[in-house]
Amino acid sequence: MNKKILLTGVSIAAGCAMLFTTAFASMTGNTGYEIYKEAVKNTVKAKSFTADVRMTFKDNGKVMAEMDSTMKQSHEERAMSHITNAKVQDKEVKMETYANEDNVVLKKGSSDEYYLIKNDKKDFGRHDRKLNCAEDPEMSKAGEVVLDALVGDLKNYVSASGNSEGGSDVTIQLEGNQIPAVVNALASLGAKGAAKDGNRPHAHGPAPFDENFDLQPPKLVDDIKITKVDVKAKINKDKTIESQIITAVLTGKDAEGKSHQIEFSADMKLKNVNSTTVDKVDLTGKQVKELKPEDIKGEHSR
Amino acid sequence: MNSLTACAVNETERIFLKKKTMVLLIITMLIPVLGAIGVGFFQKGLGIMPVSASEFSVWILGIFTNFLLPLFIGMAAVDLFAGEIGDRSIKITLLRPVSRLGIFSAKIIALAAYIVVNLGIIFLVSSFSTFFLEGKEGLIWGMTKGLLAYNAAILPMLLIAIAAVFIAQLFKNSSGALVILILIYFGLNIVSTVFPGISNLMITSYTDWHLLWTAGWGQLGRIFTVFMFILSYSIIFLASGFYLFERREL
Repeated sequence: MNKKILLTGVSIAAGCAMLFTTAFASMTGNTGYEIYKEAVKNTVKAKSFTADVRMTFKDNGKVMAEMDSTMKQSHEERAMSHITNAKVQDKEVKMETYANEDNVVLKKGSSDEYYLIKNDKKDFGRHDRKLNCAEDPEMSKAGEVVLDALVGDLKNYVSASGNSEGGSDVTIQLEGNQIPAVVNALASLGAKGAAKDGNRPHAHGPAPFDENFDLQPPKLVDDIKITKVDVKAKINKDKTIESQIITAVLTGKDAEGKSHQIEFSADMKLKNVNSTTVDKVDLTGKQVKELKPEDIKGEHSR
Repeated sequence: MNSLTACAVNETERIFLKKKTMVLLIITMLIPVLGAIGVGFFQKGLGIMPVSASEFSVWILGIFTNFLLPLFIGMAAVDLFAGEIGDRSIKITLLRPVSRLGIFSAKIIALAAYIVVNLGIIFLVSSFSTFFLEGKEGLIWGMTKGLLAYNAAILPMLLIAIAAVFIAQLFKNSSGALVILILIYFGLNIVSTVFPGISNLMITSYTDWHLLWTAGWGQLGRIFTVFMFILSYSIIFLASGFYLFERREL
């Protein structure tokens, strides 16, 4: 009898020791998810940055649209500038956007005409205050709790490994069963709706540029599915994101039963963090056409 | 050893000869079929394919391991222990020429057999149900992954059985034990959702373990961590469950 009690006692002690070791090891090791989340937070907090973004949109391996843009953004100056070169179905277009608290200036690369949108409501400033709100520690903490709960078990698929420069490489790979069915269903329905709405799946241009974006995505009607979501991020030793490639693959069939594999990828490189000066445009002596903000809103909500 | 085998067979029969078990097994068979019809509706009616044929069996497994199987297993575990005390048949069981350790092990083996049979049925029925579904590209690879996932799912389910056995020792009848088990199960799930930081420690948070096995080599470390958690919890609950069973006055 005593022998049995001893045996049970030893087993329980051994089990507890194993449990504590495992728990301790799994808690101290900074998980890929935590590393990535911290880097995203630090990057969003940056006072200014320059981002080179390259987006491609492929259908069955054929490039349908490409977009290269240089974005400069500064929270201090409350301003941003985007210079974008897009190629949509062999048609090239260049766009420049300059925005600050008072107005937004748009320019189509080929013409000398500038479009000016006066911002009476100080929209840009208001947007900026929202960002400040995200920096409010209590709010962001509550947001984080919600985010962590939503992400749930998906955080297991974020893996990180240290790289030679003292930072880390983070990869997120979701395929097949790893993508929750509900998320997949909603995203597939969204993609279907976007394709049905017509020619502008994601590349909404401001009103004057609209005609250049007659990207014709294949109209998928059957078996629509997100098959893959891939994120590869490089985080530098200051714990901010240095570069990041996001790839998402959507498959489906069009009305004629032809299979399509649509791949969307965004390659982003961040530089001059906290030391970027936003490009400005001097409108004196230039051809300027004023647009009302309502015109653009009308276009977007159609 | 022979008497242990006989005892294990006996306990397994006790589970399977119950009318309740048969009804539950029929429900287990129906759910993958209904699931396939539901997913098929999404495919045909809405044109979207959130779950393709090749992913279907692993998806169905997730539905079972997250709620239904723990419930079925809890019911069986409670019947084998608290239920036996409730209907006083435990005295007859203990009169057999087998030690209490033997009887305890036999009951755990019977529960393991119940889990394996359940998973086997789900795998077979869900594999056949995929004939109704679109997206059969890579079906063989999907089935291989599925087989791996189903085998992996045995362990977390066994842990739930062992934990249920431990809790059942504290009760004198099965219905009380089952209600408490269900409350604990949901309680732990809520705690894991609200405090994801400690969800690793919750025995209910390993029910998706099988998904890691389908996610490629990158998950080996995580698979090992969860395995260690399952192993240590199993040892603790087995030992303490047996201690309570051994000391029980009847």
